[in-house]
Amino acid sequence: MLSVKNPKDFYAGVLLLCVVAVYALGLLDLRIGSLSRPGPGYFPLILTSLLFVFAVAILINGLRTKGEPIGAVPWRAMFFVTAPVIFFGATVKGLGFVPSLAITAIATCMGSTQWTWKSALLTALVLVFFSYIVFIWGLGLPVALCGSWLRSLFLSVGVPATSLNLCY
Amino acid sequence: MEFFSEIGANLSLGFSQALTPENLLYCFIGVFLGTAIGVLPGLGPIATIAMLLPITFKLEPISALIMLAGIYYGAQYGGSTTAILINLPGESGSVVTAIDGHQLAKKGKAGLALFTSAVGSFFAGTVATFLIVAFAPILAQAALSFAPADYFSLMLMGFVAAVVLAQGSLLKALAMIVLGLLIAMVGPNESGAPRFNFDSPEFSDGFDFVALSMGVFGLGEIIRNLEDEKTRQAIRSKWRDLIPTKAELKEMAAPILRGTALGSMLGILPGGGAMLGSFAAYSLEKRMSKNPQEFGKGALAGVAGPESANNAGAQTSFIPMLTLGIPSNPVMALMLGALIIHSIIPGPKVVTERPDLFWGVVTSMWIGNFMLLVLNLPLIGIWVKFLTIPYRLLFPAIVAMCCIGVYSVNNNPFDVFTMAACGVAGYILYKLDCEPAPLLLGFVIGRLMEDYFIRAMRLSFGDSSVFFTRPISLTLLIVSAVALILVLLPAIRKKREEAFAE
Repeated sequence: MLSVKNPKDFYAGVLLLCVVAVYALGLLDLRIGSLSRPGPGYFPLILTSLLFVFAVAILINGLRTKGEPIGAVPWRAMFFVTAPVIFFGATVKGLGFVPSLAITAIATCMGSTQWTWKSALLTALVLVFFSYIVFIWGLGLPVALCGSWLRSLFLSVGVPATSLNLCY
Repeated sequence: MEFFSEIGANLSLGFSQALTPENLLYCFIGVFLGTAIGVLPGLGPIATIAMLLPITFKLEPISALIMLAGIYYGAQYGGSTTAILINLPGESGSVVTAIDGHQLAKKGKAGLALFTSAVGSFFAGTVATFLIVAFAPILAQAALSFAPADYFSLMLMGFVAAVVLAQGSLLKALAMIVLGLLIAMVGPNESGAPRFNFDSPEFSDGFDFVALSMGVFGLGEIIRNLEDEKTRQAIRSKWRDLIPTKAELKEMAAPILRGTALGSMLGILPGGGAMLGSFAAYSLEKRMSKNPQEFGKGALAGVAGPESANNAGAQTSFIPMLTLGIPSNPVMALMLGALIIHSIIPGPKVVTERPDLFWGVVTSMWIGNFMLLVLNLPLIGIWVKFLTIPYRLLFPAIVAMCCIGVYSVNNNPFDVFTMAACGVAGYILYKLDCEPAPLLLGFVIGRLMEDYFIRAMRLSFGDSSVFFTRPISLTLLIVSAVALILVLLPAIRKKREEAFAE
């Protein structure tokens, strides 16, 4: 009866086999060629086969040898690190640099179990100011301080267009 | 004689580049930032260099490289401060420094330990710089006669060395290298045929190097650090007790010399670098010592040897990167990536085609080391303050820098999403005991390796025996095979595990 004795190895093997499957699928579209005239798929084929061998070996290790459990995953940290990053990517053009970064920074602070509103707001303020100096003023990053969504919102509520110059 | 006059000419060219006000400033920024991140536990040189890469794209290549190099060896200095004062290594090269350094600090000799570490590092840095000056051009000259097959074998040897010297499972390290190579295959091949993009336009240019390294080493490490949040307490040190007595100076001299020699040699090895040298130097000192029982309880040699070795190793690990275009560790892989982005093709031709860049960077290392020596001891108070910055304030800043940094490369939100995904992937790999460092190595070298493979095969009309018939290639392959077999032998395997466990 087979059982998972070393979960770290077992799941690493499973994960790598999934990668192998994806690459095998991609290889179907590629010309392999021959050793004297290698095609675009030649080198990747060698690599995929190698990874397959390693993945199986690691998987077998996971069934045969004893190992430690994987351990707890800090879901909170994982969420509050990745979600704000995705938010930043999704909104930096629409909301603009300042609001997008501020929200990202505040949300990231919540990843710590010791966070407070006060320190999160303060951190966000310092970060936005500092990044403005370094990236926009210093390095000339071409991004609007407040983005297209907000600008059209301001216009629709009757803010005069001239004052929107501050947005850039 | 000619040898020396050539060195003289090269050095003066280098200094003329490194001593411009602009480059001095970037060197200073580099070593300052490097020390700062070295001091902060939980933020390593890999993550920082990845974070700052986008900023350096706007600089001249020489300034960019000078600054990045400064970060790397600056981090070695900073890392030891943390190791000595709070028994937490700021980065991997100073793991062993923590053992005896912190014991010295507890005895009230923190100043002495810091002084030893700074002077040892400076001496080692100076020697290692001269080693680069003397030997790098010779190596580059030799490398000019390398054929594609030789390059392929050289890269293979680099991988084997990285695996042999890595911590943990050999099999997983190998798998990580291959995975890195495979990730590099995404995107068009040399003739422009699209590969592995599954018809999505976002992947048609392949994975973004910056997004991948920032994700895995920046975000991934943050999630890992947030697993358990600790508070830190530093031992206070007065700057007065920095000055050692004559007897103490004598005690540290020999370990510094030995550490420098050992670190320099191990740094050149592919897969080497700062960490390996410091481990090796520690065990050497323990063996050479007249009273080995003192080790672990505050032996001065246990600080002097490893500290010299890690700085020497950090320096000489530039040799394979600058002369052969082969990174010996992840930091060098990032530097190589930076060079490629500046459209400088790394390899033996850099020395002859861009002597200003090569010698400028090399001489800047000595200048940087000098700055560190002058800066660090008087500024120790500032670094101690740095140490007490809680991580909960630090990591949002890192996340924000990563976001802006990766976005600024192409102004493409998709890169930001890639980074987020790579962060989660990096954390998963860490959880499964798969070190991500070899993955980055594979990713950076992947395209080059494929290129050399295809060229070697075309030149030999598909005869794969070319790898075994060319003497250079054969030698490299034999070395790799021997290294791999050695590490698989049970006796040595056990020793290797002990060495890493210490």
